[in-house]
Amino acid sequence: MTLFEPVKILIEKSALDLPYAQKLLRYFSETPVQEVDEIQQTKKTLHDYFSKNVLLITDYKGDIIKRCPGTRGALCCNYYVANIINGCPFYCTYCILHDYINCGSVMICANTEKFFDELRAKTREKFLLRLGTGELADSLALEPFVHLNDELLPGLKECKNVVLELKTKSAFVDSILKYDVADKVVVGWSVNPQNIIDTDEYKSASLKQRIEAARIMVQNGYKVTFHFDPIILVPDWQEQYRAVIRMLRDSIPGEQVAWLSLGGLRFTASLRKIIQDRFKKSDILSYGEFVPCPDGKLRYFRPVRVNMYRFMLKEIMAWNRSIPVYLCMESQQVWKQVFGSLPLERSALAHVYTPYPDTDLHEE
Amino acid sequence: MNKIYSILSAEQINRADEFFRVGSSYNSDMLRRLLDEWGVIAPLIVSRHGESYRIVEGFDRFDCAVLHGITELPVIEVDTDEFSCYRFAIFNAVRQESCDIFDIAQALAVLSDYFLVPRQDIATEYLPFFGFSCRDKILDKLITIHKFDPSQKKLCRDECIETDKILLISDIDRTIRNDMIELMIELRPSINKVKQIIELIDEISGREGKPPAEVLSDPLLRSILDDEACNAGQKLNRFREALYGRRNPALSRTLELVDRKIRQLKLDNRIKLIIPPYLEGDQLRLEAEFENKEQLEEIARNLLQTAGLKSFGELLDIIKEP
Repeated sequence: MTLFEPVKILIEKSALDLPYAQKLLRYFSETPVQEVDEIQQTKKTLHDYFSKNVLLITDYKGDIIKRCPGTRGALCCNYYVANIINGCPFYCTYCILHDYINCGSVMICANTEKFFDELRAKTREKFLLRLGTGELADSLALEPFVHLNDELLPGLKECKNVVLELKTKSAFVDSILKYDVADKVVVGWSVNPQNIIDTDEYKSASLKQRIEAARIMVQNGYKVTFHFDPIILVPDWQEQYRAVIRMLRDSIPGEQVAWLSLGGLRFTASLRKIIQDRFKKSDILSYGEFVPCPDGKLRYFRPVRVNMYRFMLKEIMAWNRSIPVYLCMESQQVWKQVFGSLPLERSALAHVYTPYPDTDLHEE
Repeated sequence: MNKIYSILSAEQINRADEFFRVGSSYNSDMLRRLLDEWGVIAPLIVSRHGESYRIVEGFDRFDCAVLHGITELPVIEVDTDEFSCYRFAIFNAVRQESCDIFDIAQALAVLSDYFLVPRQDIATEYLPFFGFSCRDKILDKLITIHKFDPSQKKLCRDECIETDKILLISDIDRTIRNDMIELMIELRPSINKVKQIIELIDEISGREGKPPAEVLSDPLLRSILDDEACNAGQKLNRFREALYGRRNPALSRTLELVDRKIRQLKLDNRIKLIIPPYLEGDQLRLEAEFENKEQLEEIARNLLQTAGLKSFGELLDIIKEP
């Protein structure tokens, strides 16, 4: 079985003439196609049994590029997300998409021209817009099937003041190398010890494959990013994460790491229920001690989190002190405890945490 | 489908064959009173099976009639296949609201194992009919419930354990199912508390690498359940606290320490010091009740004294870096 094999395509009538939609229909020429008036309405009626392995192609009417919503009580890192693909073929125990995209299908916005219109309108002189496609999807997991990079990267070359982060748990980087976009694209990998990948990141690439893909990107002049997120406090977690950092150190020069994030396992009450129901063999909820936080999510108890971040930071600094490290969705209090200061007071991160000079992007 | 109205002698009906029985007996007293007054008026639904007849609908009427010494009964004999008869029996049981969760699980098992109805059809067609959402998860739970020991089913029925709670304990480790049923009977926890207890046992088991039965056999938990000085509510609270403390040792220790430090402050009882929930945040809040200037001044003096206490400094340190 391949990673992505849709049994049916639902396409919005208004998307039929879009060039990328036409290409998608060709890529999946064997798959039955049904035309619908409005995907969003159809999605609501998709039944549990019939929604999996359905590809939805839409002429998306809303904003494709949005400011990362962040979370209540956490410091904002001014990241922007482009939700061109919604849905992921990987099956990670802890993934919020189980809760957020509850129909289990993959949706692609075929109107990529709209993405560029929005991007051009939103970039600002002297400010770098950090944009990612990995919020509601893995940026590269579907690449061998949907070839989205062929639609985005050539156009991106012409855009100024933007860096696109393609965040992934795959090793599908070949399609990026076709284009000369090292100054516009960074590729980011979510990393975890291999035994966590085995038990809780089903269908994703192995740690070795991810690091090898990162090495190839670096070799081709690209900067890369790494995300220890979620860090899971399995027994012997320190040894396991130390080993991952050492593997990275042995393959990737620290200077080529554009940024690196740390985030502890966190989940909403409804995701917790999904994990309990769907992933009965997973033990991730058993380790550590979870407390409800001001944003409603459960996180490891603060002193446990702080120790965890301090340990990770120490190991990363031993790899390379110049790597910009930030905490994802954490409070000022935790930042101060871990780093002794807030990101705006830290030169390596000040430009990231300086509010983006935006107008229309900041409305939620 | 042919339907023949006739009168059959009770002997022609094979009462022992309960293949089409879906659901439990309903109010027999009322039925008996009706029979006293009216005799059997509504015909039983039967289908021919070899030399005798099977009841499709009317088991309770048959039993009451025989008890009354009635030897002949009005029937409608239906000439159709077993599957249609079974569907009719299901619909009729739902109409009469005579199915509990074990009856539903039994009916679904018959549909699946005997009539070979595909799983997807059972989920989409029959689950909503029984009042459940058509989800794989619910179907899995019902399949497990069908496999409960007869003694467990009887206990749940006799003690009127609610459907939601039975669904909850359906997918726990089998070795603690009896314990959980006993706990639900003895302590009468709400659905949320049952859920919390199951989660805690499960997480302790995963964390300590011990089977759930071993977690539950903890002498501390046993002693709480055996403590005759406590009522059910008190036992339940202590039981949950003990599990929570074992699941979250660092958190429990810290929150207990914070409580102790707050008590050491001996604050005026009109002052309430509120710490950030679970120490997520470093802002403390104060609430004070007063009626006049004098009381406010007294509270202010008390607060000033408190601020100078060693315990207060220690409390702030704990909150800053637990």
